[in-house]
Amino acid sequence: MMPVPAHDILRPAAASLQRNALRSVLAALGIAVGVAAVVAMVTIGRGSRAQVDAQISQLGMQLLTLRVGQDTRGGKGAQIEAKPMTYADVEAVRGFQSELQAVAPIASASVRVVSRQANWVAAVTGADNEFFAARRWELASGRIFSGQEIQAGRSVCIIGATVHDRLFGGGAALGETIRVKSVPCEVIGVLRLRGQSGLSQDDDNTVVMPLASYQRRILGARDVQAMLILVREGIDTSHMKSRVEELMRERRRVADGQDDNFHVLEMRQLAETMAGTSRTMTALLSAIAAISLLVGGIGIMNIMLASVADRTAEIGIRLAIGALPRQILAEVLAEAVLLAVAGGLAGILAGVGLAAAARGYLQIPLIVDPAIVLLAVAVSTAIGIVFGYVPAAKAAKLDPVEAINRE
Amino acid sequence: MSPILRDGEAHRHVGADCSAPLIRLEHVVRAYGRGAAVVTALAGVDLTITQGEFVAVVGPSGSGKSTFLNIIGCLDTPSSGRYRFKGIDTGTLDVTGRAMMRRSSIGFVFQRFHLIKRASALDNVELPLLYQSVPRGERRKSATAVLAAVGLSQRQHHTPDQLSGGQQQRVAIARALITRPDLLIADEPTGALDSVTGAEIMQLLKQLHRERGTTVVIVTHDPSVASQASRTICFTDGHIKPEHFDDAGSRT
Repeated sequence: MMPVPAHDILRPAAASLQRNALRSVLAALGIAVGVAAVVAMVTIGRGSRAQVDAQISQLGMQLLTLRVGQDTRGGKGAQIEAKPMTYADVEAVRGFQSELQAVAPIASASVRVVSRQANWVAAVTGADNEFFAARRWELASGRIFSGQEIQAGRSVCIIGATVHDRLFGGGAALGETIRVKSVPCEVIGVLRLRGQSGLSQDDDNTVVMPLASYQRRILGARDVQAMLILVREGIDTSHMKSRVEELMRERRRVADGQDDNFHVLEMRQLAETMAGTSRTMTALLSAIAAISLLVGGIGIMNIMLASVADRTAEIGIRLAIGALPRQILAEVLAEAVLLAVAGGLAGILAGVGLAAAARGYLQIPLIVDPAIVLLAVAVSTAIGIVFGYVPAAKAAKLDPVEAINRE
Repeated sequence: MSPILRDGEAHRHVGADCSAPLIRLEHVVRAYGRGAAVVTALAGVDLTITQGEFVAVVGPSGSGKSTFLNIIGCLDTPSSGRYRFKGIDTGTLDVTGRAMMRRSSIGFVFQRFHLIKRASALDNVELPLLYQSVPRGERRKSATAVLAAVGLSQRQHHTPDQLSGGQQQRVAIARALITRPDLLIADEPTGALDSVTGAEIMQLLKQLHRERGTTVVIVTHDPSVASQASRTICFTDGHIKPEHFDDAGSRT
């Protein structure tokens, strides 16, 4: 026997849903809310993940950061007295030159900077030219430090985009003199705009000057607070982290069994931690979505049971005049699936809409994954089939004689 | 399912042979409930109806008429005994097999019409063909023709509530006939109609019987309706009273 053509099943199913428009909308609402939640969450998740990925790739997955003191992230480790590093430590780390692309010693603090027009608080960093390599940061205009400026600790500086804006209104800055904590300092370069990074504060709110001039004129000590270490592509950062740790333990005379008084932060690990966090979030949100879809499915089952009860006599007539039980089953299932898929499609639209609205607040790109759209449609269909089956089977099993007289 | 069911068309016109038994009941019992509460609706019925007969079924309420109709219409099955329809033992058919039998060979007309309320006359009439997967164009054509045959060409797009009782019953008859059934079962087809309209419906049934040779079994309370049949079967307490035939009856 040929099956009844799909349009002969779908048209009456659609007509039946239209007749009970309000009831249908309410029944599909559960699915719509569930799907909207999933689609919005996944889309927002995608967007923020893409942004984090972009930030990390900007900073570089090969980056290690060596700092004195213990790693206090996550509340572990105590603030212990740790002696600062020196330039000799930098030279020692630079010994791994075949594995490392750049080693940048830095020292930094929040300092008031003043131009003729304005004054502003920025992160002032003392570094050398390796800093720009380690942070993959190029200049928008001007030049980097000369060897002589670094050696002699000249009062020159390179400013970030935010500082450029605040002190010069984005106008001509090269050759101007700014005061950094009362030290007059010539602007020789402007850094390219980095954009909000989320990992730290505003990256662009920075002033970079030669390490020696920072140490002498701002810090008043010859300390090196941290080192940015860029590992060459293809070399394992974890391995390099161990080697740097080993070297530093030796140089800082940390005995075996004693806690390190420095720490090395691995960008790759940080990225993986963030990915892990987002996986946990996804799992949690999936559970919530599953519950709302279950509730939506029960809603559909409920409405289809009511619909079958309403149409008992009509189903009896159909069975008497030649509908096969499986054709009645197909009709009711079609109605349930149509209802669920309509809810699902509404949910997809609402979800994408929510994500688009959130984009403004969260400053993340809107990335609609076609896979999640397909998945939402597939899940809605499956819900229609699963939760429509009980009412459909009930309708198909009706006894035509009994059903027909129940009017 | 038997091949005969797949192809109702080829066997439909066997009716030319008027002596072939279409319906044959052997000791058919139908009881409802169980234990002390058991109700026997049919208490051992033996009956043969041949192709082309026009049979009236009469009897008081609760005498087993409806149960009898349900069984010969393959809507219900005997508790014991055997019912052969077109030579096939219906006891061997499952739910789907009985539905296949109904769709290919049996048409129903009910006292209360039982049309789909929101569907037009045309949609109601073509419904049995929809379930047989007949393409839409063909369905429309057949339904239009059958509606014309029952005199409702002008009412194709009316819904049941826009039609009078008699017109609704004509739609129901058209729906029953669209599959060209061997057997037309009518359960008090004039019961919900006034006497004039009822008479018109009887005329229509008789005309269709005459023109198409369809076997008609009609349940009625109305002696004037029963008198128009070629044979009358009278039920009391689940039994058939000894039959009597009118002058036109061929049996003795």
